[in-house]
Amino acid sequence: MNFLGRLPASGRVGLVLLAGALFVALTAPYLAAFDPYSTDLATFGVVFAPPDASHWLGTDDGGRDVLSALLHGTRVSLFVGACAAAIALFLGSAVGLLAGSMGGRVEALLMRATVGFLVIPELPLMIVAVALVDAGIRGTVLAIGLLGWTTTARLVRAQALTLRHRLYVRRARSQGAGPLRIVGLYILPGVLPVLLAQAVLVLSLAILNESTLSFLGLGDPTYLSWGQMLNLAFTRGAMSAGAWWAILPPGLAIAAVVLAASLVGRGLEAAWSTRPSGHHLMAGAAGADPQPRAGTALLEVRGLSVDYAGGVRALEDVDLQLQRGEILGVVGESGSGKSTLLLALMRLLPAGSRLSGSMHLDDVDLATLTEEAVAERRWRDLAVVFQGAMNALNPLQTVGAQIAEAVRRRLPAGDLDIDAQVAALLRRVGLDAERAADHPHQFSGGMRQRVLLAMALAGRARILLADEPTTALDVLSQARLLDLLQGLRDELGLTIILVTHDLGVIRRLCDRAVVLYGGRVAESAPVATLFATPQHPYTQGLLAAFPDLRQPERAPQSIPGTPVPLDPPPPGCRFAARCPRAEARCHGQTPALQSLGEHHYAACLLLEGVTQ
Amino acid sequence: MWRRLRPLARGFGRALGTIGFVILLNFVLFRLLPGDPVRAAARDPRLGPEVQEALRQRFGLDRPLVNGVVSLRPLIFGGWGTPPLETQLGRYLRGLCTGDLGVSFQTGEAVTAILAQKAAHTALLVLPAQLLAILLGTALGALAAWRAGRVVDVAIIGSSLLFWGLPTFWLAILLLFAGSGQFGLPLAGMGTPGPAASGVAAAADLLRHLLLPTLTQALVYLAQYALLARSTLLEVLNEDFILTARARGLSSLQILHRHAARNAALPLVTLAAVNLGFTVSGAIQVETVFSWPGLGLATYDAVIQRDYPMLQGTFLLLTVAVISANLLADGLYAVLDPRLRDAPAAEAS
Amino acid sequence: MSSGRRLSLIVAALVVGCSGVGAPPGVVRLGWSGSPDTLHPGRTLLAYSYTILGLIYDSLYGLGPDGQVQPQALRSAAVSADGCTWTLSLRTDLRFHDGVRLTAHDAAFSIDLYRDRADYPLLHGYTRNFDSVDAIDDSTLVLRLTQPLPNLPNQLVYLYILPQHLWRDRVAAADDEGPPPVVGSGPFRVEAFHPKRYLQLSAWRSHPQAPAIDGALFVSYASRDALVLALRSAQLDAILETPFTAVADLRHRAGIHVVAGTPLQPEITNLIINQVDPADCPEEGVCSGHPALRDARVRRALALAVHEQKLIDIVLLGQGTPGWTLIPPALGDWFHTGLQAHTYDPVAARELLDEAGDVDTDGDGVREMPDGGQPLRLRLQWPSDSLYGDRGAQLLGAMFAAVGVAIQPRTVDPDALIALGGPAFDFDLVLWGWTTGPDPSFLLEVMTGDNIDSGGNESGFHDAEFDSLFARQAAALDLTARRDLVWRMQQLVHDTNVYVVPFYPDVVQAYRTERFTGWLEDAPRVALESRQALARLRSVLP
Repeated sequence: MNFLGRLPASGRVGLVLLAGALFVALTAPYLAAFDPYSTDLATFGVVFAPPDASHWLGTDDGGRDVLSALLHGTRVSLFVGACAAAIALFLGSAVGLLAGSMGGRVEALLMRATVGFLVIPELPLMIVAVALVDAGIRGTVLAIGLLGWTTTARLVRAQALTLRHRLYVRRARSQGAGPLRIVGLYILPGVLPVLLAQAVLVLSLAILNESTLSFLGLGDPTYLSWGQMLNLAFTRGAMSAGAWWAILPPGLAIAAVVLAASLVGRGLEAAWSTRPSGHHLMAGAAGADPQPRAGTALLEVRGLSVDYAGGVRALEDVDLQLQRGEILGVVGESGSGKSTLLLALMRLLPAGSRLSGSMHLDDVDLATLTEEAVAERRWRDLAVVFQGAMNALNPLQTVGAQIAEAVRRRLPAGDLDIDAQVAALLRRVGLDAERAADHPHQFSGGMRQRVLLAMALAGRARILLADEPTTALDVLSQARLLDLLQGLRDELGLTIILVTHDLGVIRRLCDRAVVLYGGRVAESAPVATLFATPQHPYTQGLLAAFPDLRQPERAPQSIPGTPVPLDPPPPGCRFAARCPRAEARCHGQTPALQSLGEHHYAACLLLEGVTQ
Repeated sequence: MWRRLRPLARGFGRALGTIGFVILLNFVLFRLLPGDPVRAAARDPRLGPEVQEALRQRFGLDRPLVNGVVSLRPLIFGGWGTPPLETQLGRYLRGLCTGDLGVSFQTGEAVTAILAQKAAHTALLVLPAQLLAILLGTALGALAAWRAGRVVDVAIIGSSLLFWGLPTFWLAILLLFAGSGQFGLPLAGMGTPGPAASGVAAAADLLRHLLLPTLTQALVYLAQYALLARSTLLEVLNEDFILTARARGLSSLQILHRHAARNAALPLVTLAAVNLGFTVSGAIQVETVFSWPGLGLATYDAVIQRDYPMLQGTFLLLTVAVISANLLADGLYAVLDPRLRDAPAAEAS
Repeated sequence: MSSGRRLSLIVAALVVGCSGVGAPPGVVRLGWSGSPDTLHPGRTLLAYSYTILGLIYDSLYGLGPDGQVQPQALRSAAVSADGCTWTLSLRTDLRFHDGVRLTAHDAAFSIDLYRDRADYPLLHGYTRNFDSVDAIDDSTLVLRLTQPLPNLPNQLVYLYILPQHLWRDRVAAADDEGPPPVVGSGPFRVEAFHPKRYLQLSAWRSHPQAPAIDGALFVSYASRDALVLALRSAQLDAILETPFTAVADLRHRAGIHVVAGTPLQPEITNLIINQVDPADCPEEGVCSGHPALRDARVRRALALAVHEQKLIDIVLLGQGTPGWTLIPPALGDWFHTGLQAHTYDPVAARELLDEAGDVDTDGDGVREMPDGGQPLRLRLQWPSDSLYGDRGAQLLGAMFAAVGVAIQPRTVDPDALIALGGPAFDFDLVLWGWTTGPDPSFLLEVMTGDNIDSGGNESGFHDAEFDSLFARQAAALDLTARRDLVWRMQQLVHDTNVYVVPFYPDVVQAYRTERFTGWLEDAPRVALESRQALARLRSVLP
């Protein structure tokens, strides 16, 4: 578990603080100048004496050194917190694991009990529990521990539940693994990281609860925890004496430890979650290093490179031209940079990424526009159909409202025609106009993709970008959608860039295709040429991996190896490591695109001098 | 129609079951407490056996708990002869049916009446505090999410966690002293004691008394809302539909307003509702420090004084509050989230 | 206008707005940390209630500023030769707060009520040995006793005279319907009562000792620190309880005066030693007391090991007097001046323990008993609501450790502690205390054998001579004779060392002078809230 390395800075700060507290707890007798538990009468000095050279934090209500008590208090507070947390975690994870891995009646019963405990207010119950088990330090630990298990139980159960339905667990069960074995081997390890974060949080809660119980006079006064120090200070008139030194340090110590634990807990969660640190509304910077426009194509991309924050070079030196009315396929495996290309064209790259090169639409270089100027052009010039049909629509709004929003961008405010337009758009993509009133979850995957398409058409953009529009669809829906796209191009004269990993889609729909590998263009050619005479070894590999319906006897062969790492990419040809024909120079020299015929380009050193 | 109502009905059924469980638990729990409520009443040698017996009779403590059990601590069996409805449990349950929670051992007043008054006082404290915490917390959380990873974000998260980690009573006492020392704000209670004032002056007086306890409560709960608002908003802002919306050329404000806010509000609604149920007990510390005559203080006093009827009453009320808050949350969720209107109700209490 | 500025303006408006409400100029505001639980004289259990009841109601006798009993509603009293018949003549100038005249019939009704109602926890106890009470005419009451009661006036202090015309019907119907209205005849009448918030009294002008002020507000605060702050910020005119830590600061503040001394109801703090032999254990008892404590020498050694001044310095910040015996010096003649005070003497304590055969044989610093070898590790418990139990126990632990006795300190819920005490006797040492009236019989009764089963007798002290002396003093009409009996009883308790009394705590009160003058501060007892003190107050403002 390499959490430490992935822990965010705040988590590390918390970890350092916690470690510091632990260190103090362990070494308190050596660090403290006085022993707060001493039975020497002489150690009871002047009550609430202000800080001075011998008592850095003054004295408390017993005339004893506050700093020493604070250091020793670390021990007690952490000990109580840790013991109570251990009980709570053990109980909670036992209940949660049992419920989560057994299912059925056991689960129902356990979760009913958990809810039953969860609804009883915790603090009053804890007060009663302390009175019940008596007020020793054991009572405090038990009361806090025994009542703090519910959240852990729910959490663990939820995690266990998701694990239980994972494929490998189901496979193990079908192979006859017993429930204990399954819990021990599969579920527990999966629950542990969640439990670790929960542990720190439970610990901090336990420390807080201990201080509250102490404040209410229900703690164990023979152990000087931080809460007990506060209790003594408050009941014995520290406020009236103006003895801030007896009040502030213990409270701040509690706050610091709880803060540290929270930071660590949050850090741990962040460390294994894939949640990004930024969000979609953070605009990326405008491009650098613009290139002059050279040709007459509708869209001309030259020298486009994209670097993501964290050093990933997602695109490098990409050139492409898009002719009016053309359908261009962009193909490549995941990580090839094809989605990045779309985001770059829309100028929707995440904040912190760097863009260079130029993207000329008409005479405007999209790469250098400000965010405001780009926003103005979005959906008027370029519209996009994102992949992942489900999440691309706001689940809480009717699809009609969302399409209308796009229509409204084009029409003046107050135009009464909007509903009719929405209906027309829906009909255009083959949907019932009445469905405008429905919410996204009421549509099937294929229909949602059509809704997105309708939305993309709403702005009457000249160029339509489609990102894996068919991926999640069944064969029938795929075919219908492709027909629809084809029809759009033919009837509306749309220009389309279609990003996909599916060569079948390319062949069916596209005029021309660009093959990306590792963020660079490997090959670019008219579709017929590409399928007939692929030149780049990667393209050849891709085609070999593609089941050819016309040659069913040929078994598809996948390309061995894994995609090239891009943080940073290795020198030389990106494909060299996996290329069956790679030579020594391939690992050192980066190949440039060379023309191999009409509209046919490839970037491979082995093709130098080959001209068809 | 029935298909829509069924989850709701099931939710109610479960809630009733939980309440029943709590009623029994309350009954048993408080009778396990050490100490005798009658003996606890006074520490005086002249409280002779005959006086104690008279008090026992007055409070019905001379009856067996149920048929077969006379007392739980120490465990004594017996009491078979009593009619089941005349046992302590029988009388308690009978009373519950008629909304009679008994009389307080301490004051002799009806528990229902006391609770009604205390609940009103607590609501006066808790509702504005929650409102403040929700408004301020979500605003801060949204700001933090908006500037995720920047200085503002770190500052907001850090200070939220710090306030969350401060012991509530400690914060309350510091604020109490600072507020009264610097601003001459009142130190205790709901109003300046003495003859009741006229409308405006009385309202101003109440506000002055509310200021510090509300602020304390709000500061403590602020963190929860800020952190949750930040994480949910961040999650929502990372959804594809936000990117879609931006691709459509919408401005950030439009996106926040039309697409992010409502989605991010869903978990906040749940938290707010659940908190409403729990803040009552969370108010114990604040009410204790500020002498606020609400449910929290009443609960604490009842524990200290072994006032069984009051304890049973407050626990029942608090539990019912939490359960209804959960039901409310489920209901609100269903209204706000179209996906749930058709799906069966998720795990509810 | 920026929002920050607006907020500060609102705050300012609120602060200024406070002048609109609050106490009128003639009403004195007194702060305390508690509150009456109820103003039903029969039901209440708290000292706070009795303070208020003493202002609302008249009794035949009341407490004077010296803490001694003096006539209140009484004009004169005559006792028959056998001491069993008291003829009490009442004042005729008293009126209840509803204007009805107070007569001897009201007094007779009230005393009868208290006697009949066994469920009135405290007041019922004050009617013990009452045979009959009759009103001969409107101003004469004849009280017959089953035995002579020299301290009868003390018992009559708490038997408040209730208005018969308001109580008769209510009581007959079993008063679960709610208590009758709080109508007394005392110098103050109740205007508003909100338990744990405040109690508002107004002056009852037709009372012969009607106060000059218009009324009094008793305001409850959660903590004593808050009281101090309220006084400092002039939200109160006086505070009736003051943390000892505030004394030094308050003394230096202009306009604030501090009074400290013996409370109206003197307090003693005592360490209870369980010396019950399991052989004599009561029926329901546990009797787990440490066997070494049954040795009087060990108990005396513990008493000698207590450094009283250190305890007073740390725990009370000097606001108390060193302990002596069960009956504090504040009880005047009843206090046994001839007793030898325990003076801190750890050397003598060690010698006594050596003599008892408890020596440290294994060298761990804790002595062991001679035969069993059981180490002298004693449980020391105190109620969790004690203001100085924690530090007191810690100090006692240190003091006992110095003579080779180890302490296992533990705080216990007061109710649980009552359960651990008599007749269970499931403890070794308990640090607790008593509040007493002016008559010694209250504290002496604690030690009687009759009180073992009721739990009142905390130490399990049982001495036939003591019990017979108690019965004799209770009926001894001659003051000197009774004093001799009381002294002998103190001697008996003192010699057995079942109680170690480390100190008698003082009470500290403080007041401001801007609004009121005439604060009573030269009385032998500190009670700014007493009838007499309030009667002397004068409003400064017109």
